[in-house]
Amino acid sequence: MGKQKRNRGKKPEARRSPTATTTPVAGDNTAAKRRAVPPSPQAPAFWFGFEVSWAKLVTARVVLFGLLALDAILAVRRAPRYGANDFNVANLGFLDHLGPGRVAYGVCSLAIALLLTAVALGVATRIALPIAAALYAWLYFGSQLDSYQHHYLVALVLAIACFVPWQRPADPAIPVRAWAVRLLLVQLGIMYLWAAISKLDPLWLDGTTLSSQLTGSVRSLTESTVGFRAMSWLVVIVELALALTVWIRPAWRFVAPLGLAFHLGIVATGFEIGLFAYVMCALYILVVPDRVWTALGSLGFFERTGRLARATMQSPGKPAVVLAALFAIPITLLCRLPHAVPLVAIALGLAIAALLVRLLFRQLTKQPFTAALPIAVLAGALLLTVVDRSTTVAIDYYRFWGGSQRRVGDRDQAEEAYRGMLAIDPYSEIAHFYLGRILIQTGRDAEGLAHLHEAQLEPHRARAYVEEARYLLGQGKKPEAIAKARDAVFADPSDAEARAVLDMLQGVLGPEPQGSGKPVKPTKPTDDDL
Amino acid sequence: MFSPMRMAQCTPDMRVDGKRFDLGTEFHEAWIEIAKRGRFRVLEQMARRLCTKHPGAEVTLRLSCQYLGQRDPVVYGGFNMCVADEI
Repeated sequence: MGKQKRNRGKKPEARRSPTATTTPVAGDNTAAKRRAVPPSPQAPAFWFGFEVSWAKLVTARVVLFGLLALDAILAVRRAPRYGANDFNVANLGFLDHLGPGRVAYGVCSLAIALLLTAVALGVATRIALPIAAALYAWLYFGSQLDSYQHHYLVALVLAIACFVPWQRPADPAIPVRAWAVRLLLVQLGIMYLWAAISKLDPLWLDGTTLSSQLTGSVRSLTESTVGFRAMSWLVVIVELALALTVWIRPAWRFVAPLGLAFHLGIVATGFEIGLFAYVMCALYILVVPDRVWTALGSLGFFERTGRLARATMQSPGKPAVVLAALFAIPITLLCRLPHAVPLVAIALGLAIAALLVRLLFRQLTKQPFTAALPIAVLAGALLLTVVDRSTTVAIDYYRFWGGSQRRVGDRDQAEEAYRGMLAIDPYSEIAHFYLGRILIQTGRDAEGLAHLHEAQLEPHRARAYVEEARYLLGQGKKPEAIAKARDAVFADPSDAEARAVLDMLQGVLGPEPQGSGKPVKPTKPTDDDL
Repeated sequence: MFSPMRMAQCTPDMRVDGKRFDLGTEFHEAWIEIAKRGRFRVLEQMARRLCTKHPGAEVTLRLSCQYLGQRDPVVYGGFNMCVADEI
């Protein structure tokens, strides 16, 4: 498709015959040997003649799968909602009863992160990527809980990516033939087309929808420039333009800046779509013209980094394996995400087993010994730990788990969750408060009160005092209850519940009692955590 | 790249034998949020769950959805979901 035209203006060494599979590099006297078999005349060149530079492919691999690995780790915080109270509705009806639960979602997310880290490093891509794609598809199609269109797109991207030759070719200077990359781009085009079609709605076109969604600086910018109506039309036009051109190589020089600006604009809107806008930007690495990546690849820094990475990953030295085996587990011990340690241990065990098999059957497989697998596990363990320690994902996991179980009345699970939260965040007011309540509700008053006292150390929070005031009232210790209610109001004078409890107690027991002396029930808790 | 189709705000009203049922006591809030976006299949499964948990009871579901740009809400259902399991 426009191949002759496309080759116009390229350096002589990059030119190729329309049917040749590979192109010799200038000055390479072995080029003739490496000239590959031309594709069959029946094979459609649009798909099977599509070539990309290795520099582009390796950049896309590192950035795209690195981002998706990061996204998978961050997804762990959503695990507690899965399987809560044994309720699930799948995207595919037959998976309603086969959808992931909390543990399965958490474990699979971490497994996806480890697998995609390996893929990003170019290790075992033909095994790791299909497994990651299958796990991701199961998590997505198995439940509607995170059923957003961008997850569907990522599931499809991963499925197609299984067919991309991500492994470093024998000669990286020769373009890589990859029909799956063309398919990825066509898929992007279909996505843009559908996005544009779904917006051909009067509510979108008159700007109503956009004005109800945009906030912050992008809203101000839109209001002060073109207005919502024009911006809405502009979005549809851009999406249509991208749909028609993103898969056509000659258009890339215009499409890449347009698409990147579009998705960076979405980043600027601050919509809560996780890393999706960045994932889209990563996909645009495939759209940026090859010569840009080739030029960047030839820079000294990239060459040195690549050489170092290859030397590390393909090191023939067994010390690298020992190093990875020694450090992967201790590093993961610093990671507070649930199931991380056993998962990394299993991954490491499998990697070492695979190496041993390779060593034992070296004569049969003819493959050199490399330390890549254990090093990929070490890199995955490092990523898990760094992401955990630099975000609130582990704390969120336990907090959401405790909250969801508390609301549906499963005190045992809620207690387990809050104890888990305290193990990683000993000063958490939330964990101390709710654990204190659960313990008191289940007759373990002394321990419960101890946790409420810990929660009271949080400044400007009244609820732990209020809870203790209620407890004391229930125990018939009315003066102590009043004192505690006063502490609550002192801690947070704006807390309506604290004031209500104090007013109620003083109304009954104060210097001028108004009531008839009947026992007074405490006010109903404002939250639903009974 | 959000679509106007997602711009619905719905209020599900589930009743068991005429008594309003607090969805929060049975379903995770994430499911309730999805139900509030008017996803019928989720609401139907919720009703089915309540029918199973309360055999012989009448579980009615009434869904009132306010769509962007429309003044009046659109009301769906209102019948016994244990008999007709589609809203």
